[in-house]
Amino acid sequence: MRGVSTFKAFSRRLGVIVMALALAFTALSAAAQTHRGKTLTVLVTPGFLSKAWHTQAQEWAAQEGATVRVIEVADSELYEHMMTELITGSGAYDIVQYPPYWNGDVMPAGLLRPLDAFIEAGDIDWDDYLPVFRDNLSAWGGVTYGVQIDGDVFVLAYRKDLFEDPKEQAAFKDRYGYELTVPETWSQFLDVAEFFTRDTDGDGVVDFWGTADIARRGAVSMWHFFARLAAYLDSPHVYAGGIYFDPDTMQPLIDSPAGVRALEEFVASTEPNRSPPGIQSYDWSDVWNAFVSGQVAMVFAWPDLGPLSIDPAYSKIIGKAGFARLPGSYEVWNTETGRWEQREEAHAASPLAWGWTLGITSTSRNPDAAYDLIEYMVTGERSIEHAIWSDDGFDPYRRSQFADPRVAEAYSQIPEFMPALLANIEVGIPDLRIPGTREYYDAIELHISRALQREVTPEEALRAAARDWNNITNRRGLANQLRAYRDSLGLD
Amino acid sequence: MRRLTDPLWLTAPAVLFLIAMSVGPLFYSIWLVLHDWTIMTRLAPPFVGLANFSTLFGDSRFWMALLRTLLFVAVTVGAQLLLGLIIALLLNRDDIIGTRLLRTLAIIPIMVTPVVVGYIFRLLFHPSAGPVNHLLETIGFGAAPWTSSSQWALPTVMLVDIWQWTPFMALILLAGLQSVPQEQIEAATLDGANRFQSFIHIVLPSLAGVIAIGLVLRSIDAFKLFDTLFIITGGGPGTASEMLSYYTYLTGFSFMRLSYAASMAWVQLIVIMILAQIFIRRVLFRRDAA
Repeated sequence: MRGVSTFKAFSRRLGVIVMALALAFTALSAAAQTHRGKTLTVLVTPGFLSKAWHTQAQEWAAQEGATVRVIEVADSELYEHMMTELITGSGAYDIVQYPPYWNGDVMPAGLLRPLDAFIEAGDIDWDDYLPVFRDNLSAWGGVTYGVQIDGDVFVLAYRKDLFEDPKEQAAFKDRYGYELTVPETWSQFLDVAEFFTRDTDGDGVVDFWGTADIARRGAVSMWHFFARLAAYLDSPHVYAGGIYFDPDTMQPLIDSPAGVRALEEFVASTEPNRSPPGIQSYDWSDVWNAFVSGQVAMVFAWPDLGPLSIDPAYSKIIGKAGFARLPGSYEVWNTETGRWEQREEAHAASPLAWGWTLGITSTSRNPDAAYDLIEYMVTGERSIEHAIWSDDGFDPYRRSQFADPRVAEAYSQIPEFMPALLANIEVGIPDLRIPGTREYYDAIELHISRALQREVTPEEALRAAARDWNNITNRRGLANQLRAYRDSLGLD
Repeated sequence: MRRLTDPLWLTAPAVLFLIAMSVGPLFYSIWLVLHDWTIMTRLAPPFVGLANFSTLFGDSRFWMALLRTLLFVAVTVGAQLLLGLIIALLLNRDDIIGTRLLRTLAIIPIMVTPVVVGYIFRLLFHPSAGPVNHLLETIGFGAAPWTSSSQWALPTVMLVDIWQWTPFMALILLAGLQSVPQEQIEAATLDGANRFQSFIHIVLPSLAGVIAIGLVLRSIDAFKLFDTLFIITGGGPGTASEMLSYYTYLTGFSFMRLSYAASMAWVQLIVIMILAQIFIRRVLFRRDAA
């Protein structure tokens, strides 16, 4: 009997100890959960761009005992939705995910919280960020308002199997008098596009084309113009985004001789001897699809093409895609001398088109928690996953993503992909980031579209676009716009 | 002293709600028009009087969009009336098999959300992957540049609108046809009138009211077209298919120039009111006078 009562006493004690330990563990966990009970609401676009928020952000929420609500608004409605909520101060969102070319509308208007104090106190390892994403796209007037989660840049994707085919190389040399290589200049780009446009099955109908541009109005076709403009335009501030205006006078540079040549070649690229029929209605998804479905020899677009090209669900060209820096030009228009000049190396440039920035709204009731969530999302394993995942829409933005062997392993089928991304980022051209950028972009797209329709010449189109840009600048206030532009270039 | 059961008190909540929801925004839009509201000036927009209207009168993009919109309304509503009338006359006949089923099927396009219609037709008209061009090429015609050419873009949007809304016109005309007094037609037939004469002198005048209502509803709706246009062409190429509602949307919500967009909206409202008055006075009042 004594043995039984001893066992009961022991069990009782053990139970008490286990309960005490459990309580202590819970208390310690709760103490570590600095944001326990808080709710954060994040505004993102639906589909693949929300994946990280439905997975990684929820892991953070579980660790912190917090709640992360993800509100998805279609890409085409994101601007008006976000701006309406921010302007009216509804307090509906704590974090907004938006492209940095809207910086000029949201940052100086006081719609986002300054993040410098958070960054100073936090563990985001700001030095690991690639400088252009950290310095150019996240700040306004020397104050940091955003954190990049997506390193968008254009990359040239080409059919490696065709470019390396000795028969193709010989035929190209016969026709154009120089070696077939990945185009180093935009003139070569046109030759290569023309060369590959052909009837592959001999039925008399062309069924394979050299390239495909984004040419649809409203589908961000201006970036296919800016990619060429930036290659032909040399100014001291090109790589800070100085291809849009003269930073002293705010006179548009788009109608410069460099602009005219860029648009002439954009128009030439959409000729039927280089591009598929109906190219004027192609948006980015058509361009991606044309490449991964094996209809065209090369395109330049966002890095998402890399993972897509090796994804069996989408790609018919697995193992056949190569990636490179965008073409450049040996001849550049010097904005300071006002003359065409020769360069010994090709002057290359690649638009840092779109991208995604995370900002904390000025009405957020939980800015500390919001910043901790942002920090969690862009650091550690999450950032590596962003570089590896093929379906999250977030492209590399940190040095560590390029150095991680797991990322290299993920792209072992396309070994040129990550080096090509880095090469393009190194010559990256930030977007225009001043108040009213969407209006400037709408105007240039409209006139590009007219030129692509052959309604007007490239020169006429750009003259009209420059006139519209001047009108927008004057209406919004020349001094304000000039100050904003110079600030975006880091000049003041 | 009024009692709580007085009609005034009973209707007051509804009236107040109506004022808040409809008259309130109307006055706010007048205030907007008279100020310069932008993101930067939103806290204290400066008073600019009628400057937004004077800017509007010099805005060639606005006037071109207005002309394009009027052309769109004239072509689509005209075609819908004509085709709707033909369909209604066919559906009104009892000697054609399957008219009841056809009447039900006719409702389908009306029920589909315009955004969905836009995406369906964007895919159908896709230059290389679209089944319409594939069919055209298979039967020996070349592929058509439905949305990629500035000559084709607006007619393509018109075609989609006609497809979606002709059944609506057909159904309301069918309802009108079924209320045409048969005795008059029979009497006219006895007096020697043929079917065409009966149609012109009896059926059509009887349908005048229904036609006027159909024209007013469809014209107002067509004038405001946005969704399908936004999805199918995005106003392009160039401004080839840009209509007033789309330009107003861009100005207000993409460029955040709410005051200027409000002045555009007011011009649209005035044009729609004039159009509605023309239809109502010309058709309805003339019929009543007759």
